Amino acid sequence: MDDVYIIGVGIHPFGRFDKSYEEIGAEAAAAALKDAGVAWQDIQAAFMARMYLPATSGPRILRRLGQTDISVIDVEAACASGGAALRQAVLAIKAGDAGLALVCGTEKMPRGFMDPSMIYSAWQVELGMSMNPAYWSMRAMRHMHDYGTTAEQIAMVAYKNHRNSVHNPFAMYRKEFSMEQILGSPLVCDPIRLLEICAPNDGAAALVVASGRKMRELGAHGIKIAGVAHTISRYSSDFRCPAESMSMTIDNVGPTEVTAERVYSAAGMGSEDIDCFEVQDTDAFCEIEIYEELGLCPKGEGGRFVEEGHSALGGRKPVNMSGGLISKGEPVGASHLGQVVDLVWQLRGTCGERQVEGARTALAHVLGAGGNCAITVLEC
Amino acid sequence: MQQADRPAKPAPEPTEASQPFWDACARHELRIQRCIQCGTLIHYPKLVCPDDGSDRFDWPLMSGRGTIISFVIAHRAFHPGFTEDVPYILAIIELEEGARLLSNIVGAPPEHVRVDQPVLLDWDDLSGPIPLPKFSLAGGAA
Repeated sequence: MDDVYIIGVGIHPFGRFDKSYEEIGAEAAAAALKDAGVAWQDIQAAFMARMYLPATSGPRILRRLGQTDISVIDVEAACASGGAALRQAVLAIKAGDAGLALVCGTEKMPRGFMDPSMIYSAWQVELGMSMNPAYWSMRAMRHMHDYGTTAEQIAMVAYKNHRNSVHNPFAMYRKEFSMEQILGSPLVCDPIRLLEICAPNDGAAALVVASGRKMRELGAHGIKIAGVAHTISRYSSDFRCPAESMSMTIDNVGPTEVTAERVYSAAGMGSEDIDCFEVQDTDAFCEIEIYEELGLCPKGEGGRFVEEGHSALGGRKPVNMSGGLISKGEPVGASHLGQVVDLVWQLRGTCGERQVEGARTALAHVLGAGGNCAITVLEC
Repeated sequence: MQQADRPAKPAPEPTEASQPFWDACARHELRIQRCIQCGTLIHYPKLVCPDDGSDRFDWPLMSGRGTIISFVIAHRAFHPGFTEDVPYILAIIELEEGARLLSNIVGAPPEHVRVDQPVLLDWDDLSGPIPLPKFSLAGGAA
């Protein structure tokens, strides 16, 4: 079957802006079309990832480019919305329904913690399971107990990502912090601190994807989508939804492992074949857990992995070269596609100071409410 | 005993699936839904077994012994009924039979709580119309 390629990318910076979501999304979409060298009128299907926006936000954003009689649909899968939308576009192309598609993610979110009623049952919220850091910290607490992971190792993830962000013009926070500043920042939920969590915000990212045949016809040069998977894990119910007990044995694997296995098999690659990674560091501890679940290191050694510098720029498996969600913020619908845009630039070799030298393969990972996980693997 | 004008905590709202669980709580029995076909313990109760789709269950009585899988301290109340409880301890308890519950550790100061500590079922009769299964540290707060 014909492969699917990304032939154009566009991004609207992540941050807080005094403009409508329609403007933010349309700017990213227009940038992706321009980068691909195609017109909006050439696009045969469009998918809009978003979580907090109203119904038909996709059509409302894209009509700023004109209305063209194609299918435009909104896709929602919490933090994995972008991956779910990209998957829909890849399926539409592989099915022969479209040769050229636009995938866009747009978000505009209120300040402060995400609305817990979108994540938990009312009784859980009332009991106090009322914001994300509460269950993040429960996972961190358990990992520290089982493997001796330290508060310093967790802070090193935040240190690394904040330091990378200085070179990313599209990130919300672009400031390096010292280990002392991170470990001295206010405690949110023990052991997670303020400079170790990400902020909801506004932003958009867009991709133009094409069949191999269409790409050759256009004379375009694309980055291959080696695999894209989205799952609601059967055992999402461990620490992520702690009222449930279905994860009661150690053999039940969570969303990241299930999704990784699926995408590695589709791509014919394993973590050893992948040169660089953008992952869901909504809190710094989470990145440590994801090293292990993606297979970058054995279980329990994630803390040592960051401490030994393996995930730093220049390390053997760089992670979150963009600065990660900790510094970019997480405009939920745009988040995954923003990772993919940055990785396309990595594979084109145009990332400047945050470039991973000689990167040929890359992986983007997101994980969120309800056990939603998406992973995309790219290859040039 | 200062609860005269204290806002009430929200009461459990039993559903078709969870009614047997709450009926047992009313008798101070911690009973967890179990799939008759595959033996999986299921909590919070569901309409069908998430492992095999069967809808035939029994409700075995749990011993009340468990361990703390992890915990977090709530320093802020997210419902006015909890205002006078802070700081309080939210914990995931694994019962010795294998099921996990989100509950509270009661009768111990937060600084005494550790991951993997053994706990015992401790019924809370005062928080609302149905007794709630909470837990205290086995052997008391050391």
